Amino acid sequence: MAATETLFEVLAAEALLIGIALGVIFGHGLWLCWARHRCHARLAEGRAEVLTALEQPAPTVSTLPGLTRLPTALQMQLFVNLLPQLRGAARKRLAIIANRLGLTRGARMNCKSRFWWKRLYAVRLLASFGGDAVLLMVCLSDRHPLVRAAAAEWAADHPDPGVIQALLGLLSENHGLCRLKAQDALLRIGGKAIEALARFLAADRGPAIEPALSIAVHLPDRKFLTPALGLCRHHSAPIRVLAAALLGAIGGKEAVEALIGRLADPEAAVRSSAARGLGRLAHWPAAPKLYALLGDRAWTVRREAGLALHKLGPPGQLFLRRALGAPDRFAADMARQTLGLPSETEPTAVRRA
Amino acid sequence: MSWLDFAGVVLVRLDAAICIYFFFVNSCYAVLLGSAALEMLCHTRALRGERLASGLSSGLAPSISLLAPAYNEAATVSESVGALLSLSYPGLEVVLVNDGSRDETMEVLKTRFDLVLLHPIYRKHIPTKPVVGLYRSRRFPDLLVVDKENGGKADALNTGLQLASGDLVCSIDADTLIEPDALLRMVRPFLVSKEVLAAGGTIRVANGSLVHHGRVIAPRVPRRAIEGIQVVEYLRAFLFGRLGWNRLGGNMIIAGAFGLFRREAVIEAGGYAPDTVGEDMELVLRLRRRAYESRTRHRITFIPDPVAWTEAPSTARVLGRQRDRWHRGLAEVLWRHRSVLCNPRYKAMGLIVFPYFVLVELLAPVVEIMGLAGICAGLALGLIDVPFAMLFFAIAYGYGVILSAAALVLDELNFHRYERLRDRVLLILWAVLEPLGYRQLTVLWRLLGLLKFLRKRKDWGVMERRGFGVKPAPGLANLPKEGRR
Repeated sequence: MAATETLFEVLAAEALLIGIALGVIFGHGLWLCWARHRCHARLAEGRAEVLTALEQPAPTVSTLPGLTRLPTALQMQLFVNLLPQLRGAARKRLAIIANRLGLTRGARMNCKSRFWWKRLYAVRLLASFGGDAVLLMVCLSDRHPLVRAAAAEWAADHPDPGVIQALLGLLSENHGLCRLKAQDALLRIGGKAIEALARFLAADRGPAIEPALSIAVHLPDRKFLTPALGLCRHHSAPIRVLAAALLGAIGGKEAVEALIGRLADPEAAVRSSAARGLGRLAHWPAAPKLYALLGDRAWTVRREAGLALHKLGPPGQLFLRRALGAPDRFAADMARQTLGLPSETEPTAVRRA
Repeated sequence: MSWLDFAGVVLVRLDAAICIYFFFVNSCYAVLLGSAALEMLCHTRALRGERLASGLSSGLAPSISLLAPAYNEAATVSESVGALLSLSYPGLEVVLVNDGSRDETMEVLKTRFDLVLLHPIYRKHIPTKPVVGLYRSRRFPDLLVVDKENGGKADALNTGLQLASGDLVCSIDADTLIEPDALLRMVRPFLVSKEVLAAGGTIRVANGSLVHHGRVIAPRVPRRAIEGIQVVEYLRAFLFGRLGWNRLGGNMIIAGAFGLFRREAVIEAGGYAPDTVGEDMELVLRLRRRAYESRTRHRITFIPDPVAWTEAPSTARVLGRQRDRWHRGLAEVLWRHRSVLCNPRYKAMGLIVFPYFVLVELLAPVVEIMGLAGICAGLALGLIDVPFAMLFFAIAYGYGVILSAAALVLDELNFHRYERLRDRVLLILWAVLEPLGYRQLTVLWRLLGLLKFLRKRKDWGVMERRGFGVKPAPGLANLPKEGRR
């Protein structure tokens, strides 16, 4: 009997749980429906007022009676929906209205919350409204990586020297997203970050060098030449790869000499990167060296050498045609593929066309 | 001892074993549910206000190649490719692999997308059927079309894999409709850590929903039981089955219909295995094994919010074939990698995830059918206390409904996809009806799959699709899982 009673109790508990689940499913849906129905007209009115206010050079809260009557949560919802759709002056005006309504006050307080998710949301809000630079600077060194990443997004639009230094500091982050956001921010800052980035590269800051170099590759500038020349002899192969890519993007006599030197690097990835750089610079005097690489033991190097020769124009084509008859079958095969000639073993590939 | 006494002893022991199994399986589900709820909480917290973020604007984000195999899709390929090209992601490449279609698929593509022949330089790491031609679109330079000889889905994916240029590859299925921002969401774990080898997203059932130009514009719950129950099944499988594993040793399955992989890792692992019907699970398991064997830290992640919609079977015959094939695939893969079982070298995968898949996923139909047979025999012989048995059944049934309801709660609170009251009522109805007949049918089909595995049968069966309502189905490949070998 005891077992049966226990089973009945379990069954009752199950029924209760199912009841709660049903309550949540229907209750939540109905509540959302009701809230939407109730707030729809008020939100539309508030939205129309905001959009009108955005056309004025100096919007004031007094011209927004409908908006001020809305509860804070709805005001926030309205602004969060509008913000991603606005740019430039309109966005700034919207931020002014939000500040005047006091919407950022809560976010400022939450930036100091002990819960990371509250800090994260607060930073995202403040960053969108463009508010409180001092507080957001502090958030760049928050203890949670997602908060730091959100603050880095804000930093992209505030290229002050202090912000740039803080972003460079984030390049040594272990958390990938945080590091990537810092890289992205520096890239978006662009020219104003080059000086600091060049100094950073010259100082050789260990693990942060690799992400810093990947930014530099996208922002090629002569200021990077000296650090890049040094780093292309670095003991770490991935750094040499990126340094070669950077040299290929910068160009110039010293860069070309360094790249030619890297064609004999023990690492295949570095040789590939150097060959790609020479191709990018269309440095035709390097054609014989690239021709020699067509017989390299690594396929990626052979391919990059072939593509680089192709980019050199007539001198490169000449070497590629010569390679067609080379005794090294690997070199001949790569030359054939680069020139887009039909394969003897796979006749359907090109002949059909 | 009479034969009746002997049968009684056997039945009592069998019932005891089945009870122990029942508690074990349900404890596993409870743990998974708890883990999924926790994971979902963290996930939604991290996403709050994310739409305010600007996202990645630079070329630093990893590029993605979308691998779309196609076979005899002349009627819909144009619209399908258009839908794929309109997905939001910086640096997206669409690699359409025409797997030796016998209709006008290639001609349609050439005309619609203004294709020009390329001479690719690529390395053939994985043996595949020969490539007949490689084309790039003049109108949409991000579209690469591979024309190859017929070889099946895995072969088509392997070809696409080698010709793709993205850092990540996303394989999609024939009948998959991807939401516009799904890739932006799916790429998140790859940005966080280089250890992530693959990520999977949620797959939902599109049957009954309104589809326009390859997009689900209004999700609906189907009115037909066989389709509607699958909606609940998919939600349960993804929202706590897969999500729960994120914290308990990592996933072992990324659905072939929608998964994102690190291209280099897949190529190094040898690509998709063409000799199994569970090629998606096999690939994930192989990736994980290689990582453990080379002592590389790795992660296979499931993310609940990137969504792809699929067309679920709408007849019992086709559903039966699908479930038979899925279970056969599971058995094949687990058998192929049997050395992982309880092997401490593979850590959580060998000691938790793999044993779970063997004991709970693979053997469940066997135990369930034994249980049902035992109960019938017990009732016939008068060895079972009927009220007790009925109560026990009611509890088992109630627990099944609770699990489904929990998945529906997770979905409602976090995604709120089904807005209409009628859809909610239908969802609850299908959740309540699922254990009454449908579940027993799937047990039979899975058992059939297991038997076919033991008989070493490798056929895929034919999948029939009805399309997504008014608009033609922008499913990309007819070839998919249910290929034609």
